Amino acid sequence: MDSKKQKDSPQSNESTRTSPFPDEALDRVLGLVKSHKDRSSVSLVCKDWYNAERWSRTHVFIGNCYSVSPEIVARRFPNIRSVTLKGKPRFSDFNLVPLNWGADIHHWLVVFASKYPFLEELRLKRMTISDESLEFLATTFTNFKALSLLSCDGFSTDGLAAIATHCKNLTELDIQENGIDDLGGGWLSCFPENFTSLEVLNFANLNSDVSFDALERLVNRCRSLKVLKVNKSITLENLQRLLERAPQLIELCTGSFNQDLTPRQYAELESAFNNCKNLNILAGLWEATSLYLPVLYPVCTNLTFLNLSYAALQSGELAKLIAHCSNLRRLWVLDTVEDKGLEAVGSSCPLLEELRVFPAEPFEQDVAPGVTERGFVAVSYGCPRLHYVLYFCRQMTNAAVATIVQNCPDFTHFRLCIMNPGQPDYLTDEPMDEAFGAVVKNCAKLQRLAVSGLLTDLTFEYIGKYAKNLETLSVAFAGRSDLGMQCVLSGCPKLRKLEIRDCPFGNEALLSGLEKYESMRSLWMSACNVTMNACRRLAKQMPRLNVEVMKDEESDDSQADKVYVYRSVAGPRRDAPPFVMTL
Amino acid sequence: MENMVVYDKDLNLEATELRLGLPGTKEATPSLKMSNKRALPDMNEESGSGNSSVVSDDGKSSDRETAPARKAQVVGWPPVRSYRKSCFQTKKTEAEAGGMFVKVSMDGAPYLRKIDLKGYKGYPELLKGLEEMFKFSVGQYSEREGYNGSEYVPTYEDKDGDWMLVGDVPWDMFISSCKRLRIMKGSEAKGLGCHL
Repeated sequence: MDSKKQKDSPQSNESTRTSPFPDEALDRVLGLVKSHKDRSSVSLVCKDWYNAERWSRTHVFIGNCYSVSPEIVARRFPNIRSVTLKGKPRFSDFNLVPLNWGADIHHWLVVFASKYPFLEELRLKRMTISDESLEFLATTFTNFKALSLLSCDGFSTDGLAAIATHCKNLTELDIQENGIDDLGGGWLSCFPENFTSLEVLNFANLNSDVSFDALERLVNRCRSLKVLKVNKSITLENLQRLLERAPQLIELCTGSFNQDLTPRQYAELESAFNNCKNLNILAGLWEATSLYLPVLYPVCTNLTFLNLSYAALQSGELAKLIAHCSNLRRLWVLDTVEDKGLEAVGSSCPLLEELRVFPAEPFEQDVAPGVTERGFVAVSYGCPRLHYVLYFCRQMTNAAVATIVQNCPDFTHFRLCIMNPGQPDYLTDEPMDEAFGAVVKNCAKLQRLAVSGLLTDLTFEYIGKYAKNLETLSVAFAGRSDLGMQCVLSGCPKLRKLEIRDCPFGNEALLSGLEKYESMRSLWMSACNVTMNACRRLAKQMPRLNVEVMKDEESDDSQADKVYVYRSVAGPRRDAPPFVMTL
Repeated sequence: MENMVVYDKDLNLEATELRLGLPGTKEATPSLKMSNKRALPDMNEESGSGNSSVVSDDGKSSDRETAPARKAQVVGWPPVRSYRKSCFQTKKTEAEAGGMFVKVSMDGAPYLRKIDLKGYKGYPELLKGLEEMFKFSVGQYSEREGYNGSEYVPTYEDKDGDWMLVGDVPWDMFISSCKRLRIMKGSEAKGLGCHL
């Protein structure tokens, strides 16, 4: 990384006169600055620092792939080894964005092939990547080491086979939560016999069977393997053998946790877990029952993150397990554990910082009660360090939330989903305004908020008035008038992402944010009251924003059904499909 | 009910029809598409004048009863990722691996859905599930006349590639021969029911 040659700025006679700060020192210091925000600040100091920063940067994070082009990135940063890219708007996770919307990685790869031939890492979220692109990636970048695909689509297991076959230096293959064509598990067998560099392997969300034999041999020869996340096709018996080969694991996602084992097999499994002294993170446990959970007890004390969101445990089962997990910082569960299970969490995990409770049956009505406000309150009493919560429930009260944030004032992420849209406080029948009012008043560090339940504009007045550190806000089925959205746009100085669906916010609200949107990453509004004309006005007055509209069938011409606004230095998209109108 | 074509008022079809909501509640015209329909005239004022893809009475009827009357099936709500949904069928032990997923389309709706036929015990459950999913009502089924009292008709494509009316054959025969479902506009479905 020789940044001395070809610097754009003139040789620093001026800087040695005005400042004795030598370039070597600056480069050294910059090498230690990793955070993007810090690097961004550094680059704004002066031209010298801008140049020093751009030459020394090795990792670039692009939060919206359409905000910039690969050519612009390559021009500014000549020495990139690692790229993180995010594509589609977050609501695409919930089917609000049609297929073939875009965010295809291929053009980026083509540019990288010429500008960053030594690219080592690629991390994508909500992007489209085809098998051809994966093959291109695997065969073009000889130094390629780490591939992470989260919520992506467009590829099949054939693409994974290409990666396994060609990437001789691969250390990380992390395939998470993607909508892919699972054509079979043969890809795993494509890792060559002399391939030993793997440190991270995650195929937990793929469905089809892999060859256990191939997996076992792979795990056996990759002595640096730290993270292993297998899918449901791996049995307990298989797991025991894998753990024996890899007792050094730090992070494990088990396969299916339900199999008839003989007492001897059970003992061997227990012993295998006992030998995993470094295990901090545990997930998987599909179909786990109380019969086999005890084999985990030896590792529980060391766990910092336990992900039980694939295991439909009942309250008693969870209580018994969690009693051993006194060092837990992060816990994900299904609402099958009910309030009683959460009470056990409150009593057993005093260091807990993050809790996520997912609904086991989100689309059913007549189901077991799931969790209520009681469970959340119980956790808040027992876990004062709680700062990240994602909570799906079917009932909530203003009073409960007020208690929760009094117990836990350090919330940075508060995402509450009362699953029935527009549901009031079930005890008082009032809107949930005071609940979120309490959150923003008490939690000064709040960065991310998701609101739900019956909400008037008052909620948004509170948010605008108090949530001074808020960066991300998600709103659905809430508010009464444009005033709500206006309060947020004018009141939240650090707002970066605003996503709104099914709210009565209209043109006045949209246009009140004219000045604001350039300081934000993006705005999403769907099923609101915004018209095409207002969008056109926005586009006209703010040329550095891309204003994109998708219309639904059968909607009338004047309505803008889905609006996506984002800042960009790359101009309007050139790959927009016909159903995306760029205004 | 704006979306019903009432063929015979004397039969009091409204009383017998399958539809969403408690007896006695008047349902605001449900959105016939799943997403982004304009607000309806008698939409509860809490939603303001906004358009919404949710049937209006949800949650507002809580003064009448203890639990929400019905859950609106809305695109992308609750915001649960689709890969998670497939992880949850854990307590249904047998036949879990052998799920019978078929695509369901509805004329006019932008998105298809997928349902597991094995998750239903019979036609009434299936039809109720479809009604909730797509916000329509099937009206009253009779062997002779097919579906009466609704603008929409549930049909399916069988193994031979023919489009058939849902309900004509025994349930077990249906689930083994059904390849996909389509909720057709009634005007197009004429002729499907009259095969006797």
